[in-house]
Amino acid sequence: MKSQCYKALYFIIIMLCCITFNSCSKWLDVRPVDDVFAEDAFRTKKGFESGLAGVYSSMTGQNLYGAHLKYAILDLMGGYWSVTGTQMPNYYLSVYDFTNISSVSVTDNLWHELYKVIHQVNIMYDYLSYIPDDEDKKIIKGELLGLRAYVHLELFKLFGPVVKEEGLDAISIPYYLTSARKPTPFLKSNEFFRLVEKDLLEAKTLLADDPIFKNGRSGNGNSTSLLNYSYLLNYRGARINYFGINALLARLYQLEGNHSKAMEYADGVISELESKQGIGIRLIRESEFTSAVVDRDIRLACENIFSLIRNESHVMSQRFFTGPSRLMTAYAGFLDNLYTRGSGSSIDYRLVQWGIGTYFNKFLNESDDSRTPRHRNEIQLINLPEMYFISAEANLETNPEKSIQLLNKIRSSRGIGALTFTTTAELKTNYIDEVRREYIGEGFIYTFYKRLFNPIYRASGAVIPSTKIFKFPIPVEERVYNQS
Amino acid sequence: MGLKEVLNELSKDQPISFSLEKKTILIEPKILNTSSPKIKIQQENMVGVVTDLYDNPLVGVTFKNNKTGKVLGASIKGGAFSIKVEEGDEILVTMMGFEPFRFQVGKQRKIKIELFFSSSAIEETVVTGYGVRKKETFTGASTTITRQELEKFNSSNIFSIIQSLDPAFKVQESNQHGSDPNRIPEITIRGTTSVGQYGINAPLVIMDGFEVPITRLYDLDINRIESITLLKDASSTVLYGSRGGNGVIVIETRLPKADGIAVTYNVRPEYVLVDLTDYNLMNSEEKLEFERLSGLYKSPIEPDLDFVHYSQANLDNIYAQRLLEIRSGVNSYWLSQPVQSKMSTNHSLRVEGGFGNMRFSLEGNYGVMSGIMKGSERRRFGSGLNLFYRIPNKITVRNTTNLIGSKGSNTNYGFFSEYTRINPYFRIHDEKGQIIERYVKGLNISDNPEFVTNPLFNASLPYRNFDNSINISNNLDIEYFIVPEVRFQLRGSIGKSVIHSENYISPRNTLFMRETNIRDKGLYTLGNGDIFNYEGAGILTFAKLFHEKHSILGNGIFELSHTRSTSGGVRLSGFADDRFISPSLAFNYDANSKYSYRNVPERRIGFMGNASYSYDDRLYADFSFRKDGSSKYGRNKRYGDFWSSGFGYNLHNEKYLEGAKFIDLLRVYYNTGVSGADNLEANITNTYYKVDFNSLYNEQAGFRYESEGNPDLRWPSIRSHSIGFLSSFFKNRFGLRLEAYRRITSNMTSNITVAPSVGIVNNSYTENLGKVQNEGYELQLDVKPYESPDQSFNVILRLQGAYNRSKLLEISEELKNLNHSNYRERPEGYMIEGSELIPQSVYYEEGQSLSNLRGVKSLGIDPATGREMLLTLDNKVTYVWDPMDMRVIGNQEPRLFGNIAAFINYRNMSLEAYFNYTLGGQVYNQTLVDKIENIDPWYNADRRVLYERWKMPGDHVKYKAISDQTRTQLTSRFVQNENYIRLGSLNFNYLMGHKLTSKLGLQRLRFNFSMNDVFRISTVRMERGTDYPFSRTFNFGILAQY
Repeated sequence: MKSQCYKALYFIIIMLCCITFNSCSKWLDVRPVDDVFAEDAFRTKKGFESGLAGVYSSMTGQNLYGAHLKYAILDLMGGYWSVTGTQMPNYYLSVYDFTNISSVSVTDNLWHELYKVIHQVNIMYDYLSYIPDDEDKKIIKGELLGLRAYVHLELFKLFGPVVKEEGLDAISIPYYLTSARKPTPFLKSNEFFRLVEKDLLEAKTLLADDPIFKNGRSGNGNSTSLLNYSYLLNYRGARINYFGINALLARLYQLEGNHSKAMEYADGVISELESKQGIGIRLIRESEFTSAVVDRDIRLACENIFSLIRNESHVMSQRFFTGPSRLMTAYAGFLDNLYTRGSGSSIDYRLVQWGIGTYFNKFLNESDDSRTPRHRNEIQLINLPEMYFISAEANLETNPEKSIQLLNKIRSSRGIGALTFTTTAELKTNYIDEVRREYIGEGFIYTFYKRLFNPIYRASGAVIPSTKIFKFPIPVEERVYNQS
Repeated sequence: MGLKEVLNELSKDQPISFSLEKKTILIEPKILNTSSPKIKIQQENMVGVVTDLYDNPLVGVTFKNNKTGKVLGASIKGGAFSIKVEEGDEILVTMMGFEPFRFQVGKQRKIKIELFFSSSAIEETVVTGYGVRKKETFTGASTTITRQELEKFNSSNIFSIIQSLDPAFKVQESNQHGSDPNRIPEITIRGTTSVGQYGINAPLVIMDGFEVPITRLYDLDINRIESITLLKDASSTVLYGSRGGNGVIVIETRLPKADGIAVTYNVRPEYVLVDLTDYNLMNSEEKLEFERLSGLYKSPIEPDLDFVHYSQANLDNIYAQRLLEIRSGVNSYWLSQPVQSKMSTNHSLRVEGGFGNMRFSLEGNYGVMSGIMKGSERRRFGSGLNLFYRIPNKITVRNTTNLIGSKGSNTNYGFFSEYTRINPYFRIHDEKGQIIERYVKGLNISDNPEFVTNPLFNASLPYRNFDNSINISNNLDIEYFIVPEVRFQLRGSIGKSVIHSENYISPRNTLFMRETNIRDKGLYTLGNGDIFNYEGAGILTFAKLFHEKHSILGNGIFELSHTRSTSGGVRLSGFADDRFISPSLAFNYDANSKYSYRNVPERRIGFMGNASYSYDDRLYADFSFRKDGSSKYGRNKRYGDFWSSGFGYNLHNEKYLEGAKFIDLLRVYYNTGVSGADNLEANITNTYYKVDFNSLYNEQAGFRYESEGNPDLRWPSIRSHSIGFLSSFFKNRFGLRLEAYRRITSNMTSNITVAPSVGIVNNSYTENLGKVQNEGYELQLDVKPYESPDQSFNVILRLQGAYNRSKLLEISEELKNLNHSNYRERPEGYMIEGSELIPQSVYYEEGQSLSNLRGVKSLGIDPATGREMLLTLDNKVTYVWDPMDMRVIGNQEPRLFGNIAAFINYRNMSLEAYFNYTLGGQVYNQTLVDKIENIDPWYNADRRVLYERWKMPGDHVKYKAISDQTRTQLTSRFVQNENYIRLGSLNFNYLMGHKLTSKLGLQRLRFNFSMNDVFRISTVRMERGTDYPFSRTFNFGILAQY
């Protein structure tokens, strides 16, 4: 009897202890009010929506796609702008001097910032199990995987080896699959590409029912009700979407040198978008490119497969394209040859509308911002012409007719005449020139040259390709802290 | 029936009395009521009780008639006594371990006596904050400072008082901030336990059982303190678990006295004196001569393109003009401009009393701690209300309301260093007596001259620069005896602090001279803070004595605390007119600023168990365990465990030492345990984001990734071992205390750097890494060379020494990186500029001290060339200073430091002198670098620049050529051995005799005079107090009790 009593008492004491301990743990669960903690935030879908927005938003910064990875650094290295002297910002990078202190700080920063985007993606990826499996989760996961692959590939383009020159076994860069705070080893290019491919293929499956099919690239899939508003359904073109994934696969295979697969994906994107006009990703029409200043789609947003939106983006670009020390096109004696001679034409809409020969205005918004349509704030990451170019490049030698056909489609939308076939070499030159004319200001051309191991055309003359000028240096800190 | 009752019964009709003191039965001749016939009839019975300050009855207290020298009796059980007295008798009340107490017999025949713990006594108690422990059975190192000792100092700087009494408590003297009253010095107990960004070495401060910030102690009126206990090792700091690792300072405030009403008033006028003896600057004539020797008035033979070329005639002319000016008597003494010696007063008033079971006290204080820079001072005020109710052995209820506030005003005279640099040949005022705004620097014939601002001009502008803080708190403490052996104590505290700061800089300040837009001129910085906290604890105590010899004490404690700190601040600019100072007159927020806001909650709980056992007061042991939980840690690692165990042995209580009568005390103890310390914020353990306008994507607010957290972060743990030997001989004529310790801090919270590809913000996050070891010993020797038989005259000498060596056992990447500070492992483009000075900072290297000095080893100045000869790491001689050659060139930790004190007590007078000394530490003499070598010759410098620098081949000197304008980097040439002795304080106290006091209608009247920082003799001549000079303080004090 007595021992039973003791047992009961013992039980009660244990219970009490448990209760107090549990409630204590709950009581201890308080946080500073002005911070959002990952542990709390990623327990709901809404948290992931905000998290994704945060990742996209971080990519629009000046040090990434806001400026540096576009016109400010990469196009300076691609030779579009005239280089005025050593006092010019990023002068040393523009002459591929990667050892100068100013260059090191830029390239180190790019390396870290791009990997930071990946880390943010991985933090969310590691929390995915907290939210229920449903359609929205598929989109979220698909976007996360797509972003991870996209940014890794971007890093590869800058810091990785020149595949054409060094082969697929050359050491490239690390690929991060989790948010663990440990460095991962540098991979061979081939291993690296397989990881990109794996992420992309998984994302492709997850995004098979992408809302972009229903709402188009710029539509909003939400009803007017503000309850249950999902940002995932709004403006799919400004998020990594089904077509973006496919386009990335095309990009990946092209980078690898697998032209048949690259063509397969590029053609797939072209034909699917052609057949589904409602999606709204299509080559620009003359009227849209050349209409009155206020209404024209000067950045060719309708061609964007995957873009970013930076609100009031003109505030940033004004820093670079207005004022006495602005970036100026290397026109006279250089770009004028490209645009107006050979396969070029002086009535090229790009030449005229973007003010290449006068005052470069592609990224300046003419109207006051309150009236600026959102597509004026788009930052192009992958566009439809790139698919044409990928396919055209794949067919250069095997099927030049198709190549020309594809190039002529682009040319016609740019208001210039069709090309005809003469020799493969000339076709190749025309192809490269077309790409050069297309991507001014977009940070595309430097890595394009790198992939082809092509000379870099500059106003001062062509720069002989070498692995030295095409490979951004891996930061010293990386070498010190990542010896895995 | 208890033993005492039996004894009483036995002695009832006997001429002797028994009394029980500790475990000893004392037999004394009984003072019979019907005493000898010689005694006159006026003799009456006086009865009462005698207790210690915590109301514990004292048994065995002896009463002696000071006139006749006759022992009147002793107190018995319950502290009760009954003695025969005559009006006018002076009675001396004594007991071992307590200050002797004298009183004059008046009309009163019933009295309650409270004895103070004696300052130089051996048997003390240890106030742990969770109860009072007998030192006799305490297994750790601690120091108790009583009110009596504090009163004798009579200074308003509590930290320097504690340092004078225990060298383990170290106040870091700041060479930069000097005696700035608004600068709360850094404190460490037994060395530095952790380093890096999250290193925290400040001890925990507990006031009446609850944690308070160290500033509260700094501002506390000394008259309100009953005792200060320093808990130095794990045996007692474990009680504070995660917070106690750096030592604990336990403050108990005064309890109200019982019976009647007493009013105490203490006034302390204080005089601070400027101490500029460390400065040795050139006068105007010397300065000009130095300029000439530096070649400033010599035209370059081949004119430099970037430099305006002056003809020699031109330069001669300027030189002659300046010389003429100097000859006419211009020799401005700038040093005296921003400083002044000042007088201020502190007042404390205390009213206390009691009726029956109820007692109360009400007190208030107001005072000013003056700074010597003009406009700098700290006003402090406080008030306390104490209510105390007690039924002995049943219940005790205490409620305390405290108000502590301060207003720190900062000087408008800027940094003192400005005044040490400005040329003495500049006139301060023009002929009209107006302050001259600025002077042309160098040669005044350039078209676009550089200017030197007269710091007095900015000081003459309207300004506002202060911070206010006020705290109000209420503590409730209920102690209930369930049965005599079991006691339950419940206590709670609730408090609120409000902080407010304002700083206004006039738009006319030379800071804004280059601003063209009026919107950018002037700056008003406002800051607000609000801290609310509550804390509660339940303590169950069990104490029992079994079979007379086995004593057991057990404790179970649960406590919780909550703090919410809110702070905000704003910077405003654009002020048109400085006649009107108000934030509402600002044009706009200062560029790139907005309202800042933080709101941080913090919660903590703790469970603790504690058991101690003692056998016959001879052998004793204890064990404690504490589990702490904190909201600052991640969900997975919320709790931390801390423990300690120790034992001790009182050899003097052993039978075999009974014969050795000369031994009063002989004790050894050892303890070991783990406690913690941290100063984290919750966002270190959690990855967090911000949501604001900058993170907007399209239409949606996104999470902006701010910081990487580490949810696996654990409490840093401090494992300590402590051993001690305490002894006292020949009736306390000679005492020796030796204590040694080793502390190892592991899992230090440090930033670690990761590869940038990991993609973490700033490439770093916090991790438990790094180990620091502290080893040291402390010794105290007390000698009483003379004591008169009636104890009214004695001389005591005390020597205290301490030694501490810290050692870095394991290093984190963060610290390694600090070493490299950007010039190692970098491509060539990163080489530091020739003009950039590398500051002296600790070189973190495994196996090395945490306070070493680094630099390149120097062989001195080459007498042939006047250039410095340096030694590379592979011991080659070179003239080139290369950071790669830096090594450890000294250690700031002294070989021995401590205090030497002398006390002379004569009747009611006492004189105390406390000297602080330091032996064998090294110091990097910044003055030599900054004021002799790395100087811009257009500024004033140390006089040695003129007399001790190299002038011609063959000069064997310490400093390089006068004309050599290259920068001197860190070298061992400036490392000097520092030995110093300082008269930290000199106190004179006089307690007025009873006769006089009674005549004045007072109970107590005490006079005090003390001097602080009287002198300092050092082997190193260095400018001390660069931004704020040092001062000396003189205190007078009068304490009167009605």
